[in-house]
Amino acid sequence: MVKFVVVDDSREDTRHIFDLLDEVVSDKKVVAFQKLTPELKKEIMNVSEHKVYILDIELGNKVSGINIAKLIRDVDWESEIIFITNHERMFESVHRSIYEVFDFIEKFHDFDKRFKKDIGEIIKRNFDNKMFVYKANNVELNVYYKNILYIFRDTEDRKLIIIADGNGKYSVALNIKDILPMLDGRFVQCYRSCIVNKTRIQEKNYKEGYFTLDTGEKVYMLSKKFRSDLDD
Amino acid sequence: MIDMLITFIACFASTFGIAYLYYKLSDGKKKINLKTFIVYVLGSIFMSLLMYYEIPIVGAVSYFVYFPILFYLVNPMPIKKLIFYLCVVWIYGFLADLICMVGLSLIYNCFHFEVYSLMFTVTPTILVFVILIILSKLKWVRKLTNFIYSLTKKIDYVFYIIIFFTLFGLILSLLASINVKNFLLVLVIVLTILVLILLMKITFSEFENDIFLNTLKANNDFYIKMDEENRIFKHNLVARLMSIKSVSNKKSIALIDDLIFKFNKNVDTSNSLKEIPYGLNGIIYEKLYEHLNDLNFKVFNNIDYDIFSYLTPKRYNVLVEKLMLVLDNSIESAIGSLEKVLVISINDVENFIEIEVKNTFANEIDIDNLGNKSYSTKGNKRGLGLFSNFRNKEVAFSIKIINNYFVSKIVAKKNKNVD
Repeated sequence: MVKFVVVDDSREDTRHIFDLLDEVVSDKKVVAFQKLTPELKKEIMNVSEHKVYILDIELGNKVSGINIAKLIRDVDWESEIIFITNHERMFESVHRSIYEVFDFIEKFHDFDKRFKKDIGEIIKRNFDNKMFVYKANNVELNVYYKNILYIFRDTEDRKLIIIADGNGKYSVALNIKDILPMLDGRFVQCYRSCIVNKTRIQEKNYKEGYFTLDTGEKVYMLSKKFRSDLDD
Repeated sequence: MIDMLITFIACFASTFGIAYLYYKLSDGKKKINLKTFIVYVLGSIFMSLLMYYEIPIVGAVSYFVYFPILFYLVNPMPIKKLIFYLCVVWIYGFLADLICMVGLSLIYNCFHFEVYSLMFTVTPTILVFVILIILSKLKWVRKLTNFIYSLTKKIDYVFYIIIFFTLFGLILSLLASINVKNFLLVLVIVLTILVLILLMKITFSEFENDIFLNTLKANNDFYIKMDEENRIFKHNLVARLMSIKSVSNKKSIALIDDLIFKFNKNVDTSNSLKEIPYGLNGIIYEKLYEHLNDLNFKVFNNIDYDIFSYLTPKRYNVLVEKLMLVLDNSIESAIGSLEKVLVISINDVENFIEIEVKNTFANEIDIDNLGNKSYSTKGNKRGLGLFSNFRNKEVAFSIKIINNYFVSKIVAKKNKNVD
């Protein structure tokens, strides 16, 4: 069952969203709020359930949908967020990435079609938003598993380098043995000093000892020794 | 008596020849006074007595005891140098002796003169004296001596002593026909003592070096620390001036701008801004002004009251100090990244004022070292800012990296609740 949290100051729009949800999802729970209330805060703080937040940006008071998204992302990076707005897409790219927003939908521009398509995709994706978390003295690193491409050991610094989407490169004081339990099943060891996200592999060439990722990067750290784990 | 007198004159001349050669060869300030003269005369008498009574071993001893004293009185110098001149003068004297002996032998063989009379015993001494005087007058001899000295400058003085005692021992054994085995035994003992001295010296030098290096390291660490503290201080001072500026009137702002420009020539954006907004907005806009076209930025200030009136002045200063540092870092990082995103949100969260700065970045980040004094993704002598931000606990500061966004959060507890 999927829980939907709708925050919109217009009762009419809320009702319309309910209708659209009925059309797309059968097994669901829907709660609605008109503004940021203690109940909504409580709902946000409850991270035990996977939710889809549908937020209107202009809420008619000083707390906007973007503020609510910020509150959500302070505690919850697994739930999905969809923004609904009357305005044009000002700074859309910024908000989309900083709050990991699933989509921005304009109310008066093909709304119904796009909304239903988004909800369908979210259901299909099954909330693949689990994160790799590593806490050091001063910093906390959080990266979606789905965004991690591969992890290898830097023999010079004796640290692990995590390579993620968007040129993300992080060095952590762990070894291969330590990091494996911190990852989920999509990560397998493919070389003596390398772990790969197998969902991101496009091609494997055991003969020449490399794999190609969906980003196009070719990594020469593939060993026949780990073939059985990779091909499972 | 006449024999005695002749021997004395020979010794007097011989000693003078050696002393004069030394006087001429050695550099430095020389002094000849009554004390030197008395030592010279007494030494000559003593030497002539030894020569008269044919005690050659004591003669050799006297050379290595009497001449060092005489040389030192004529020209006081470090022991190492004195030993060098003793050896050199001895070698010149030895060569002069050799020349004389060869010359006299030739004369004896050719003309069959009686060379065993007292006159002939004294003649070589007088001849040696003449040769030594000639040598002391020759410039090339002086040059040669200086050249040899320059070559031997790097030699440890212990080796000088070894050479000195070896010469001494050789002369003793030659003159007194001492058993070679005994001489070697004495030489081994002397060398052992010298090696021990050398070892002690090396150990002492190492100990001295250790102390010196430790002191040097401590001083170096101190200067590095002072340099770092000075840079933190400079940054914080500018930040505090900006803090005052953010809540000042126009005249005060002009004064502070002038002062800030003196501290940091790079900060002069305010002249281009006609009116600087009040409070944190002013600081943010001043920082962003230069980069308006370089960044994809957004600022959310959700606080509509005067933050300054809800924080103690000290806390407000620290808040601005940390915000400025975060802005400097995040602007630089965002500009260097592909997306160039920078989002600043200022929120009121219950009893706290919370500033969150999110930016994209391009560098590899060492998660374990970030915030440490020596670490920076931006090169040498950087990374002090984050270290300073973590150090001051007046205002909370934290960093998270979430999906390729660098998120810096500054949280200051309010003085009183917002109505």
